[in-house]
Amino acid sequence: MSTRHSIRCRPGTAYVFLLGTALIVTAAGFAAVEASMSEVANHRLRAAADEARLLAQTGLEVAMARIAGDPSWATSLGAGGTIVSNEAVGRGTITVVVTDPVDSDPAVGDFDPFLLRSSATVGSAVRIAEVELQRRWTPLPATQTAVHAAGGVTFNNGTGITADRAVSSNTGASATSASIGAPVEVVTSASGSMYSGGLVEGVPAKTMPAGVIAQYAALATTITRGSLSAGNINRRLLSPAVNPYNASLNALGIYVIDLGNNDMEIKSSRIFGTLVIRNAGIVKLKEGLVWEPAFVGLPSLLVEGQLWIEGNTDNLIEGMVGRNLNPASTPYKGASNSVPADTYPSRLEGLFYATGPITVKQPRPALTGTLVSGAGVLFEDAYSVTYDTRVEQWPAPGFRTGPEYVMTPGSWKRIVP
Amino acid sequence: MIRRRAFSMIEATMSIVLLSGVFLASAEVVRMVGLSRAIGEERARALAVGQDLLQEIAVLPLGTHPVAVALDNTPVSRAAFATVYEYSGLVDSPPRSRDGAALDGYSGWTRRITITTLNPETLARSLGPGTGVAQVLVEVSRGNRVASRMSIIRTSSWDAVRFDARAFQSALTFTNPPVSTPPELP
Repeated sequence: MSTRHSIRCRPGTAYVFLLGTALIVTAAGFAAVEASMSEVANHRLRAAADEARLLAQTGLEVAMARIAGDPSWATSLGAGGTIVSNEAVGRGTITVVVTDPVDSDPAVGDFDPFLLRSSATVGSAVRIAEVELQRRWTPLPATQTAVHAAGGVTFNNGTGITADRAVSSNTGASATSASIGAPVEVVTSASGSMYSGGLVEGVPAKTMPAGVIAQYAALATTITRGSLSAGNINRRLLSPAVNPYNASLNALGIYVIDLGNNDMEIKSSRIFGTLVIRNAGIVKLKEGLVWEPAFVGLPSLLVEGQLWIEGNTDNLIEGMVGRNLNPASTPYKGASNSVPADTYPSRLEGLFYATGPITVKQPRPALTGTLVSGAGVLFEDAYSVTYDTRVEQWPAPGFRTGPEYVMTPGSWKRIVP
Repeated sequence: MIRRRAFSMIEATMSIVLLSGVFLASAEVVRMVGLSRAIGEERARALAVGQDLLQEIAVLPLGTHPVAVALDNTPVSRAAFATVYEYSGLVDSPPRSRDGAALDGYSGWTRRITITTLNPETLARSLGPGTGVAQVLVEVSRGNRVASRMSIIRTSSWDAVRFDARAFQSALTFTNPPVSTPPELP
C-alpha cells in the first residue's frame, strides 16, 4: 500500500522544471536575436545617414552643373523652383530647389543671390545641404576705361582730356599740339609727345561688345522719328513712367528710335533710361542734358552710327524748358515736386556707346561713366571723364561675360530634419 | 509484486529530447547572431573605409577627363593626386591612407574606384568626352565578397564655385548692388 501511495504522489516537477528552463532559454534567445537585429538596423541607419549626407552634397553639384550649362536655367525651373527633382543616385534620391531671397523669383534680378537647398533621402534617412550663391559678371575690359575706341584715338590742336581711367585704343593714338592729362593705352603705338598722363604701348586689344544694338532694340519700346519735334529730342522728360511721344511705356526705360540715316540733336532734356538709336547719321548731345540709366546695370545710350558731344555750358533749367522734369513718377536723385522751378547740372552718367566714330566737339556735357566707340574717337576740344565704378561693378548685358557663381561666405549649411 | 510505472523514465527521455532541441536551436541562434553581428561589423567597417576614400576625393577638383583610363594602377601613395579623375580605375588593396600607409586591420580588403562620366541633364552614362559631371563609385570588398558600394557625383561647375569662393572670400570686393537693378535680360 505504501508503495502505491508514493507512486500516486509523484508530482512531475522535473518535467515542469525543464519546460520552464526551455522557455527561459528560448526567451533569452529571442532577446539576443532582437538585440542583434537592432544593432544591425542601427548600423544600417547610420550608414544611410552618412550616405544621405554625401548625396545632399551631390545634389548641389548636379544643380550647379545644370545652372552652369544652361544660361536660361532661371526661367526653366520646375514647380516650386525645382532644378533636380527626386532623381536616383546610388541607393538614394536627390531633390534640389532654387529660391531667390530678394524677390522670390530666381528669374528676376541679374544680380540677386539665390539659394540652393538639396535634400537627399536614403532609406528612412534624410539630410539637407544648403548654400547661397551670387552671380558675378565680368565687365568687358573696354568698359573699364574712361574712353575706349576699337579704332584710333586722335587728340587735335591744343585740346586735351582729363580722366581717372585710361583712354585706350585697340589700334594707336595721335596727338597734335594737345595736352593729355589722362593715361593713354594703345595696342600699337602713339605719335606726338603730349601724353603727360602716361602712355603705354603694346597693351592687349580689348574685346568689343557685339550685337548690343539689336539686343537692346528687342527689349525697347519704339518711338517713331516722326513723333519727335523736327527729328530731335528737345525740352522733354523720358523715363520708364513718362513717354512724351506716345502712350507706350517701357518698364526698364529702354526706348528705340530709327533715324533712317538722319541726324538728331538731343538737348535741354532729362533722360532717365536707355536710348537705342538705330540707323543714325550723327547723334549730337547738346547743352542742358541730364542723362542717366533708369537701372544700375543698363547702358544710357546706344547709337548705331556716329556720336558727337557738342554742348555749351548751359544747365538744364525747368523754367526755360517750361516743364517739370522731376514729377513723382520720375524723381531726380530721390527728389520730386510738381512745379517747374528746378535747375539741374548738365551731365551724362553711365555707359555711352556708338558703333561709329565718337567726336568730342565741345567740353559739355561732362561725363561720369564711359565712352565706347566701335570705330575711332576724336577730341577736338577739352573733355573730362570721371569713371563710374558702377559700370564695371554691375556691368550691363552685352558689355559683360559670365556669369560665374560664387558662394556667399558663411552661407553653407547642413541640416538634419 | 507491485508493478512500478515507468513515468519518470519517459519524463526524463522527453526532457532530454526537449532540452536537446532547445540547445540546438539556441546554438543556431547564437551562430546566426554571431554571423549577423560579423556581417554588420564588416559592413560598418566597409562603409567607414569607403566613405573615408570618398571624402578624400570629394574635396579635390574634378580635373580633365582622361583619354584612357588605367584599370589596374595600384600606387603606394595618392599624395600626388590632385584631381578626381586621377583616381579613375584605382585598386587599393590592402587599403592605404593617402600617404601610402596601410590601414590597420584591413588585410584582405580591397577598395576599387570607378569613375563614370555622366550627362548632366539625365545623369545617364555619357560615352563622349568629359561633360564636367562624373559619378565616383567606391566598391569595398573583403576577399571576393563586396561589402559596400557607395557613390557621389562631382562636377567641375561646383569646383568653379568652391575654388573661386576662396579668392572671393579673401578679396571681399563684391558688394550688393544699390537700390535698383534691372530684371534679368535675355
